[in-house]
Amino acid sequence: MTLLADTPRTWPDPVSISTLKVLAIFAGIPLLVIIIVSLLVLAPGWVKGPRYRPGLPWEADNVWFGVGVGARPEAATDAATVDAGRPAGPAETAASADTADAGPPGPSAPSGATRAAHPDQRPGGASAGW
Amino acid sequence: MPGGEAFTDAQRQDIVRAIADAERVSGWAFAVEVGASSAEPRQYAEALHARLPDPARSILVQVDPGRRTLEIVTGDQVRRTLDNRSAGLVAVAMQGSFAAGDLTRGLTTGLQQLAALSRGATSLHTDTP
Repeated sequence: MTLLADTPRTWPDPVSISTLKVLAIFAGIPLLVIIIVSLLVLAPGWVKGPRYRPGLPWEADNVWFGVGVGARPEAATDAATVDAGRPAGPAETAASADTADAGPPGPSAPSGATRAAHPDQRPGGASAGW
Repeated sequence: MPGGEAFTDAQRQDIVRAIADAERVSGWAFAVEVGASSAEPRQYAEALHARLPDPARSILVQVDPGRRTLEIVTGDQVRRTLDNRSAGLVAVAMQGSFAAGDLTRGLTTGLQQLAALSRGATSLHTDTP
């Protein structure tokens, strides 16, 4: 009865395959497929560069485009000064003086809409967040 | 966003081209800063704007991706053609792209719209004696 479960004798003897070949077929090909799929997924990101994701911290250096590139470093220094809570630099003080001259500022930073209702010497524009 | 560069070279070129186009179309000077602002983004942006070579004829766009704030600052002369309401509409359009994580597209489309809206009416009678 045990013979029934055996390989039929009429079948030809299989060609013996080396371990290396077995590995190549059962491990190499899946690996190759995995690598190709991973590349297809990751390549656009490499080409486009690091993507901004809202909500995650932004650690890249400040970038400036357009006119007034020379104005940037002092501004950055002022920003650092404000952030650190130290006394404002002379430029910042001048800006505050301008604000005082232009009219009575609100209790907090006035929004664009507030400024639209009270046109004065301050620059216009708009604010938004996301 | 890892530390270091905020934009790839291609993205930088797109933004630089958008600024050049905006200046050509509108005649105003444009400046864009992307990066950390201060605790008061509006004051920070206005201080930056005040330090531009010709603030009255300049439009500054400040984007702080970390705080998720966008500030558009327009000079006195620019405000004659681009009122705060129009600037607010552009800001809304830009914030849509920013919320989707595409800073470059938000900036380029915003610059285009700012330029188009601040261009002012075209005079049709300049050749008439």
